[in-house]
Amino acid sequence: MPHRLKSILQDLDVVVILAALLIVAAIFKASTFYNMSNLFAILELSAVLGIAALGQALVLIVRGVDISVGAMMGLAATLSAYLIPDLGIAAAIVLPLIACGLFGLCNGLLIEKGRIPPIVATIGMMWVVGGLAGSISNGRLIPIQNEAFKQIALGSVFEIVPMFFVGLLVIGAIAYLVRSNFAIGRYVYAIGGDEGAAYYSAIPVGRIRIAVYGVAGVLYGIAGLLMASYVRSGMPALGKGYEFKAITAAVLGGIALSGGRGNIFKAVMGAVILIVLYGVITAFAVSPYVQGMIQGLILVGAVYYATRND
Amino acid sequence: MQLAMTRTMTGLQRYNQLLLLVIVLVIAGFVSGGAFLRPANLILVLASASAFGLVSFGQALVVVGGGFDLSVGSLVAMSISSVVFFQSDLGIVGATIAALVTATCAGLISALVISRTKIPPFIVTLGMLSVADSMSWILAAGQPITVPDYNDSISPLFDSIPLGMNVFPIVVLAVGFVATSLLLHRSKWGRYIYAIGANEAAARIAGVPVMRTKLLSYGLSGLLCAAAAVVYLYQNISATPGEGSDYLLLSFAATILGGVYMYGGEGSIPGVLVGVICLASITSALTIAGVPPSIYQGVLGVIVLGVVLLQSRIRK
Repeated sequence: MPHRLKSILQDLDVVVILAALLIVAAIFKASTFYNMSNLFAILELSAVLGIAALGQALVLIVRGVDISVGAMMGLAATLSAYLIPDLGIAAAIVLPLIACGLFGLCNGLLIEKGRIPPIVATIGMMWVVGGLAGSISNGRLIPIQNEAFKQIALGSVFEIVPMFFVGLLVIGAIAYLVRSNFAIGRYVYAIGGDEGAAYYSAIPVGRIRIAVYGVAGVLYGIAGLLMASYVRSGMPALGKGYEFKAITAAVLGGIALSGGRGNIFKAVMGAVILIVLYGVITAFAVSPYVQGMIQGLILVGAVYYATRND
Repeated sequence: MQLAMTRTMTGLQRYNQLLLLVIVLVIAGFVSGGAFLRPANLILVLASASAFGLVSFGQALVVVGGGFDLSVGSLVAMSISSVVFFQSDLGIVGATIAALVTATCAGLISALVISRTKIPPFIVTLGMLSVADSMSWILAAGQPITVPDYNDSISPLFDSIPLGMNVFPIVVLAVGFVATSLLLHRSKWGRYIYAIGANEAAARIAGVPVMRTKLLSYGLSGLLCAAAAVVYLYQNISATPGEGSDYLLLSFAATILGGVYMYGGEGSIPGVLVGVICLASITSALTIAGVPPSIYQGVLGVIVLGVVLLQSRIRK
């Protein structure tokens, strides 16, 4: 029984951290932190990072890593802003997602068929995608005038829960259904856990890994589109640093860098923690310059915590 | 027999690198309509390669040793800001030394964490990237940076020489090249770096001081980043905090183009120099040909992926 309790507590560590942060905010900075617009923004940004972290978590579970997150978000946002005046909102949502999915598949192909280490392949892809986005936007910011597109960020359910967060919940629900009802959910973990064993169990290792990178690309694309709606513009640098944040969120949520382990919902929780933490830091009026330092220390600390007993 | 095979392979690889250089120069000459190959332009290209060349030599030491240094760009940015921060108290010479020491310490810290814990190098240096980026903003207090001192004091020395502006960057690049070459190819520490990159566990058992070797390679990578910052300030005089993220891309591309094996254990500093010159030539030729800079990044990305693909094909 105590053992079981311990494992439940271990699963709840993300909730404990989140609660601690929220309590600190409540005690010291209730008025600046707990107001509607701040909480709304925190939920929205959590959703953006949560979706990106979900993609990163999938990649980490198949024993990879993806550095192209931010570049893909930038491409989706830029492409969408570029297409929306001519082709309308539907095409400006679907086409960028297809593009991100295809670049994600390219990542998977380079890694699986080209035998390139994931970090090298995705860094290369980051530049290719970034260059493409740069040439579309000509290095400038493209403002978005489309009302419907802007409304995505302003929309909410009962004026409390942002549409973004609803999106995150929907994507989470799909992930949950796939994870628990389809063999592919187990395959993904099997590949990360022991690739050889998975191969000899007739699991199509290569195709699944390629597909995981493709799905991750689409998720980054969605995160990029949400971000574009949030800032009402598209530019290549829009997702700058998100690869970093997504890895940190996934690791905070207990996704193992060595693959095969970790709960993708805790990765999403990791994203929420990170955004709440930024909110708290901002509420304490800490210089924004220090944020990067804290971010770096959290990443290294979280990985240290996760690998200390390996 | 094994040794002879290895020698032939190394010989071939060196030949490959030169071939690559010739191909790039010819294409660059073509693309730019000959303007690229004028001697004056070649000197400019070499000078423009100085800062990222220095960073690339450091990156090469780390990659040959089986690691990654993702923090190089931010370390350059941090060093630029360090010079400004220390300048008022220590004078320009003192500030330069302080910047060199700070960046070296950052490299040493990365190496210490990498060798004392099980955290993968890319996570540690990604963390350092973020910390150093922060530091660059804090040290410069978020203000634009201007340091005319290097240019004011050094460039008059070479006034009489045509294109004398470019002597200092080329000399620094040459010094960095000779120093890292001697270290990697003519000292026992170089042997240690190769040994660790090829097989860390075996190297450890064979008695290679793994931790000290890593301290050396990451520390030198930091030091070279600071040297690159000095060259940058000499050439550009002013900078924005956080500038220098391009150096990660460029150093990585130069290292891989220069024939360093991405899993470690193989590669040479002369090879990396060729990679550096190739990259600088490509950039210069693209500029002369009127390609907008926003596309460079994509072109470099395609080149890097292509070369890496070739590398892994050859090895299969």
